[in-house]
Amino acid sequence: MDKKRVLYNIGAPVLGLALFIGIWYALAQAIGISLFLPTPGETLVRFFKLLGEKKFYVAVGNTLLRTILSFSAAFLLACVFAVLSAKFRFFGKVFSPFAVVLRVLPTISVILLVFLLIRSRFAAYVIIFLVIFPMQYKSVLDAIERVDPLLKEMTEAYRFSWQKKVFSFYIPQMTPALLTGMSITLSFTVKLCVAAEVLSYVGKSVGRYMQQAYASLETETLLAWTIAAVLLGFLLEGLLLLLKKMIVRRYHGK
Amino acid sequence: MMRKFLVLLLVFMLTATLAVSFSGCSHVETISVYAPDGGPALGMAFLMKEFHEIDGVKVDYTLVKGADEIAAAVANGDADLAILPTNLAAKLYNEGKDILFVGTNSHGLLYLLTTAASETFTLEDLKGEVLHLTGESNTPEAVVRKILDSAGIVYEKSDVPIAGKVALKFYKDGSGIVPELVKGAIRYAILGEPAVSNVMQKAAAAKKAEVKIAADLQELWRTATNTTESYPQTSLVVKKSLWRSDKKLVEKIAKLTIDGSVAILDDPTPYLGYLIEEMESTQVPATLKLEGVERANISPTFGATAKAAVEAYFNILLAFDKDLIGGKLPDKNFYCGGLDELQDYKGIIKAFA
Repeated sequence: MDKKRVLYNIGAPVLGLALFIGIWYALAQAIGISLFLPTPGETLVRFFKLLGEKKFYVAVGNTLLRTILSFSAAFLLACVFAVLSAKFRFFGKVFSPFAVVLRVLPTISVILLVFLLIRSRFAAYVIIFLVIFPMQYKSVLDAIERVDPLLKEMTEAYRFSWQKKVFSFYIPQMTPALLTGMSITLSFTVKLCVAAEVLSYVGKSVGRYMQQAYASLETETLLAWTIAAVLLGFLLEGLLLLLKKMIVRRYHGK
Repeated sequence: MMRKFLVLLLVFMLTATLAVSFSGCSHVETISVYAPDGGPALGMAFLMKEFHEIDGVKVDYTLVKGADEIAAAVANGDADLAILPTNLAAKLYNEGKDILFVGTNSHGLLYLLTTAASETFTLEDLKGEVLHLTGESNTPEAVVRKILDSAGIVYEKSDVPIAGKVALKFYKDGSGIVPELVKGAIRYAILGEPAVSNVMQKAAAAKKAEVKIAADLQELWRTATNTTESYPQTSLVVKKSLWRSDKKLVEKIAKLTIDGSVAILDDPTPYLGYLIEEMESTQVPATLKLEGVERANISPTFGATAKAAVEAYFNILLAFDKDLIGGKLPDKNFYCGGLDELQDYKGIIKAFA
């Protein structure tokens, strides 16, 4: 890698991060009360202290599991509905108002409506599902519709079996676009999951500990949990992008 | 044919009799006890830590966020026993919910805090000021309005000061008030324990403003109502079916709440630790001290004493704002009855240590 590329790929993000930390530090100094805004140093000390506590791993594990389960359920169902909508146009037309309403519904309305109906730990799952499902549905449907029509015709002309069509044609064609969409939605799901945990008072979760810190005005603890949530989002997004690279390399040889 | 019919009838009657007798003497295997997070939870901390099984019955404890959540748990039948605001218990009962009043759990935990420099305080000081508080259409609002009415002080709901009147500014919860007090951005606010302890400690650490207790609302209530008792802020209620099927279990839990009030005042550390670490309370700060627990006035009362105090409280609320108790006084069936033997019970610690 030449010097210019190193500077561009590594130096620029590091500079951005340094600027962010610098602004945070300056703001904390200007406010002057660590109860309201602790310095990055104070927050990091608290974060590393959290890393030594068992509850940290339990909470992060639970939030991760909740995120993955809700996301996977939304994705699988979105695939089913998108395939049905693409295959049967009438079904797509009937389902489109539901998808549109769910997609444009303000997240806070979804949260409040779910709380009116469900007041248990499952409320968080339902909220995530209802917000993520329409986004996933649109993303899968778009990916299906973007498949090259000439190649599609070719599979028809050569009378490919349905298995061959799906595994050798549709999946390789759709995967890059799908995984890009999924990586964005997945980090959003982490944010949504934490918010739902706060609002539905889910025990042993990142959201619950954030609320505990907020109510006691333990701002450095609140920010330490925030760092955990951000890292969780980065981790999931990174894993999906890695998966995308692997799949693209396998199917497209790039 | 007739003989066959008679045999069938006999079998049916026997089966029905057996089913009825078994259902009549059935004992529950698990019960759910709900409490709102914060001050009321202090009254259940001892049970939560020490008693996961009582007389062979498994006890599940749940902490919920606040009054709305506890009302939902009681209304939909999730809670077999629950601690909830006393007026809310009456309201739910009057709405036809399947609950009975067992006893009072706490006798007021509200305090008027100030950042003003003055050493002395009278209610007159609130004129022309904004009083920041929570609990709109609930106990805090009723208590404050009763106190101000009795002192002849005019008030109005407003976000800005009004000359000659007290402006009442309501918040959804105390988290909106605490930072403002710590910054010294507001002069008068009403909070409940343990938020009172938390805000005073945080203000001392931030060194921006001194937050002190200007008045004990329980004392002001006694003056306003000309009584010797404070108001029964939260109470223990039981599902009717549990009371009918397992009265002894409910009585034992009631008795244990008295032991719990003694235990937590003797040494709060293990119980507060349990509330924070195991029950993941968000409203009880790790720094809460004994004086904060004392200020929560956890003093369970049962039997005729509790009933009389609650009836007197409901009569005041009825005259004042009948919606607070669901439009009318709850009838005599609201009170589960009995438990008079607990009136003089002072509680013990050692047997459960």
